[in-house]
Amino acid sequence: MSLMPEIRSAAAEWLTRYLFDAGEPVAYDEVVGAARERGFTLAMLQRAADDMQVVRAGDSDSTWALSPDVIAVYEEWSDG
Amino acid sequence: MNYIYDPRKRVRPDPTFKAPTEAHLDAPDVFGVVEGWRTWKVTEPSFGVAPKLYSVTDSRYFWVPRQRAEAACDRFCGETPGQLCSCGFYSARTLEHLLTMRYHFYTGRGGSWGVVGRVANWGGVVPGDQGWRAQYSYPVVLYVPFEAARKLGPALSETYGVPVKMLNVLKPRGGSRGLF
Repeated sequence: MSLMPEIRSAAAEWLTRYLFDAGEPVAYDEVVGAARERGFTLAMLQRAADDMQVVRAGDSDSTWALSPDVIAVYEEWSDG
Repeated sequence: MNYIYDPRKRVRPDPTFKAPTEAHLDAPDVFGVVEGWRTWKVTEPSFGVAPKLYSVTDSRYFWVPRQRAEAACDRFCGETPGQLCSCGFYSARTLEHLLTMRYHFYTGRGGSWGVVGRVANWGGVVPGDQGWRAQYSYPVVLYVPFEAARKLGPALSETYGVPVKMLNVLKPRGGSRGLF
């Protein structure tokens, strides 16, 4: 699926910030629910997870977390 | 930009070069540098080849890692940047202004991304209305798209010796917090 670059980027940013702020693995259903609240579809979320190479763990990949190298690169950007 | 592409620079990073840091930008008068913002095109590294910061206006020119970028004038105006010429490395005064010029747009297709960065300018620097033309320039901090961070971030940081952060440059600005 091809997403508009703006949407792909927005989804990747949202997922990164969401998982970073969580500070620990988050249940898949919880991530999906939060994404939908922000207007992201499941396809957008899956693409963002692939882009960020989210670490899926647990039974049936039931939790999502950022990989250590993404956490290392991540730094909060302030719009000022 | 009017500079001469020098293919010899391809393989000659300066092993003694020390990249300017944010401390240089925080004390511009002390270090004699001027802060600016630029955009580059970067292709995802493949087969172990380091990613390069390519000019968005001259696809043949890239900024050599760990070597100051030195402008040259193809009109031989005598000094670079010349007061009455258009040569030198351009940078915007602010990120906001840089983004209004839309050089940063990308699709991600073919692994090609827009990367923005804070640069240190030094040597001869000619001020303009919204930015600078400089004789020497080098990135201080690079900002890569979130969705490209894993592929570009560590490689760019290692190649150019500067910190890399994530930034969504496609997010509408000017008061809006974004599409979502």
